[in-house]
Amino acid sequence: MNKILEVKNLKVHFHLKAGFLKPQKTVHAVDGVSFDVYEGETLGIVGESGCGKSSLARALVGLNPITDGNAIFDSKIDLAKANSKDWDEVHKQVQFIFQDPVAALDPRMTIAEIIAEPLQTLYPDMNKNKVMSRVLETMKLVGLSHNQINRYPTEFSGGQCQRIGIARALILNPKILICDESVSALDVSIKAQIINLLQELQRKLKLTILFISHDLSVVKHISDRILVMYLGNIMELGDKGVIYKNPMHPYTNALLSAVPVANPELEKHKETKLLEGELPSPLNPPKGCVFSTRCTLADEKCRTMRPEKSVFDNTIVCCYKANYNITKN
Amino acid sequence: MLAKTKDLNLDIPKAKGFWSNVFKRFAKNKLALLSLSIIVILTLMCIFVPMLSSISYDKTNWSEILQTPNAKHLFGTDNLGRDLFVRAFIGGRITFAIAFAAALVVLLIGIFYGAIAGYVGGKVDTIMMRIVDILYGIPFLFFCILLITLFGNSVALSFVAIAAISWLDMARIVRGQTLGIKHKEYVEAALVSGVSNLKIITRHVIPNLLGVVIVYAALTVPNMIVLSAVLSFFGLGVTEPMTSWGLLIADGAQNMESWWLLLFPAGLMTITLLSFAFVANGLRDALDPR
Amino acid sequence: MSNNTPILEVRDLNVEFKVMDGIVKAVNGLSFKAYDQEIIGVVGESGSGKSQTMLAVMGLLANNAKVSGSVKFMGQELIGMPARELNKIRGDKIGMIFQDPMTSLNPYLKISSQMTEVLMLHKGLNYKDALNQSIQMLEHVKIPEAKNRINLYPHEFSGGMRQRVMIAMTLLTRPKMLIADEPTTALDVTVQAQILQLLKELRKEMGMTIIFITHDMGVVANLCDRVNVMYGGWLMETASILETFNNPMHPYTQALLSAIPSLDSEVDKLQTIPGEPPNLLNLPSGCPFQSRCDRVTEACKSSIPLNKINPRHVVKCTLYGNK
Repeated sequence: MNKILEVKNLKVHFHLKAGFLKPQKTVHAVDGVSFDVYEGETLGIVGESGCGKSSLARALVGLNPITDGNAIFDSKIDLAKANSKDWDEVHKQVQFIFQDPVAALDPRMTIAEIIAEPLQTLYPDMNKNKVMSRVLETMKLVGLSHNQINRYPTEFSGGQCQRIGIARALILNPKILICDESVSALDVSIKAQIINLLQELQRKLKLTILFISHDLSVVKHISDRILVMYLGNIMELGDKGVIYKNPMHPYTNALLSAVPVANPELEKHKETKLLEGELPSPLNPPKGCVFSTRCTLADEKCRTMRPEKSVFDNTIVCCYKANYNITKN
Repeated sequence: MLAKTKDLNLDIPKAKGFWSNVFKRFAKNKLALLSLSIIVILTLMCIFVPMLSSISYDKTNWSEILQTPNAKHLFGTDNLGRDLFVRAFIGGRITFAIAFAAALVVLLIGIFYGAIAGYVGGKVDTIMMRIVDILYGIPFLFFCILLITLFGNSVALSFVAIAAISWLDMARIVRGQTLGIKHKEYVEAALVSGVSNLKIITRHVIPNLLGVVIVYAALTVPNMIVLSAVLSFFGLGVTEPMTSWGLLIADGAQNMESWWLLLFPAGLMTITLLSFAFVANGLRDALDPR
Repeated sequence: MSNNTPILEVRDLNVEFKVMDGIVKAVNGLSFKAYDQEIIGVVGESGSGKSQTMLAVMGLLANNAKVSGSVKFMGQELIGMPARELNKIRGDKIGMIFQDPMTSLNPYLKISSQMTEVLMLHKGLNYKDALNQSIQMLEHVKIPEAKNRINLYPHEFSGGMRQRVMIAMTLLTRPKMLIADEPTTALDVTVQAQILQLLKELRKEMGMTIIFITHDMGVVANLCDRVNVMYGGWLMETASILETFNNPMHPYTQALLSAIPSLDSEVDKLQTIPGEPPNLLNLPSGCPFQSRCDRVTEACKSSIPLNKINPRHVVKCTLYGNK
């Protein structure tokens, strides 16, 4: 399979303003992650708030600056060194779906104006009628009626607003769609509609999707591979079946066991491995493995040396104590 | 611009926009609507009364000095026998002209200055807002006197003085609003679509802060009226025989036994100020329905 | 109190709001009971009336609300009760926690002064005793180093810890009933698991009835004894936890359960509920779910009977009438 995105040792740091007599502090939001994204796949990125999954996603579309490392798109453009012309090309190919569907639409613009904006910006010479017919085509694709074209976002429900947001992203015919918690704010019945829509669009348009969410059930449903992050670092990366059935990393294990399942009998007998302690501050991450402060298996080595990634049958895991002795099915 | 839908043989009705809803809600507020019509009527009268009246505002008539209001002189006459009705509206013309023009300049400078400072942020923001802070520190009257000693007394100068002081508040308000809008997801969505910063400011930021700005502008105009009155009260700006509400009130205050000289200009100004306050109130409610 | 007198009995509760464009019917003819030490899950999407019901019980609705019906708490009628008496019950016997803890914590006051104030006001304790009890309560909800941390301000706690502080503060007066409005929605799953565990323990230790509002079926399965499913201001189905999941009767409940992806099963395509939730300004006559239901009949447009499948399982749907 084709690598469409190659992320190498990517770092996103934020510098907090130094005050009077206060040294400058650095938030290590993403602290050296490496992974590849293959064409046509859905890569789910999971982790708790503060794990850097959103900072990573936003860095890939230029909403956050890349501090260090590389992110090579389509073997051509390195996002870390891209100039404004390169970015225009990236914007055509990599689009973003936001969490709050209503806030992502300018309330003073009509649906047509909103959906057309990327096309008019990145293809300024395109003929007016062509733009409009693309708008209508895309609206149909995401299940919006063309009667709604001149309306304003406030007249739409959350689910419809998210369809508008998806249409705006798809009008450019992008290769990659980055969904940052894109269904988290939706009601259950609407969430299923949007998830199905995304899957259908992926099949039709051969999209590559980066699906960022804290909802592990949704990520499991939609993804082919899963990337687990904690405090700006990759913990584990592998096929969905492996990660969810036989997680090797203790953090993945704890995370999965904390998800309540909609099955009362299972829930009653489930053993939840409650995590002790609190998430360390990304201002001052632990020296060794970032999870070592809360890991029950951690020893001296874990606390002093950050584990390198080890590859085990297509699964990447960063842990000295990883549970390799699982029989694969 | 987008193609019209009818060019593509689609007949889609234009939906009601944000502003048409605002007007509908505003129209429901009777007091605000009444106030708006008072402002419109007064503005029209300021334009047309001096134009159409057979009496000129500066025509002195020694046989009709200090007359009480009567059929010929609706507001009476002053101590030079000039018709107060015409003078009140020519004074209103000057006052309104200064206030509206200054408000327009304030809107333009304030919006762009505030939006750029807020949107660009960082050092640019710090420097731009420090300049505003410094200008704030200059006392208004001192500033006016300085201007007049330097450039001589004129109407244009009092307008410049008022505008120069008043845009500061507008810039601060716009900057505050911009800071909020800057981090909205629709602005980020535009960034991801490659929209340039300038276009984001004009297309996404400014239209979204217009609501607050308009309310504030409606509150600014009466402020300008008061400021221009204060200036002319001290004899700055407008000079005889031309007049303004401030000057008329100053005259009236010196001739208290001729009550009409104070009552009519002061009454007109009070009505105007109240009307603007009610309009601003109505606009605020219409823009922010609960 | 014997075990079969309900702690809370809501009968035929209606809540309406007058707004500019008409009347929003937020809750329509709602009846349910909550028994001693029971945890009831109230499930529904936004606009289902689940939060408004609880605000009506607490007497905390907005000014433009009109409430009718009956809410009896330990035998006392709450609807129409004078504000002063209601305040006393609210502070003493019913506690409420919210999704955002900052709605009930004052950001400018230390936790210590906020907690002691409650005890001094409601229990008439002196400061020293109040402080001791507050520290105990913080330890009870498992806040480490409670003695030192009580002197912090709310923003100095993490999200999960802040939620614990709010729970501790609500529990100071040892309420008989706790109403929890999506208290874990904004939290991470690992923190959510801790809070759910804590609530289950507290229920036993303090003998509380808990009404837990959520939209997450997983949380319901983990925590609750009984489930109320709400839609469009109606109570569609109420049943024990096992019956809700194993034998859901109402088409809406069934659709809701199959619309969520689950960790323990695999499907190709999620079942969806077509359309959008109803407009509360303009509800259809009869069942609010009719426009989205795949088993809709003519009868759904008239008044819908309540069908008792068994004493603890009630469904409001025309499919199950004994005609």
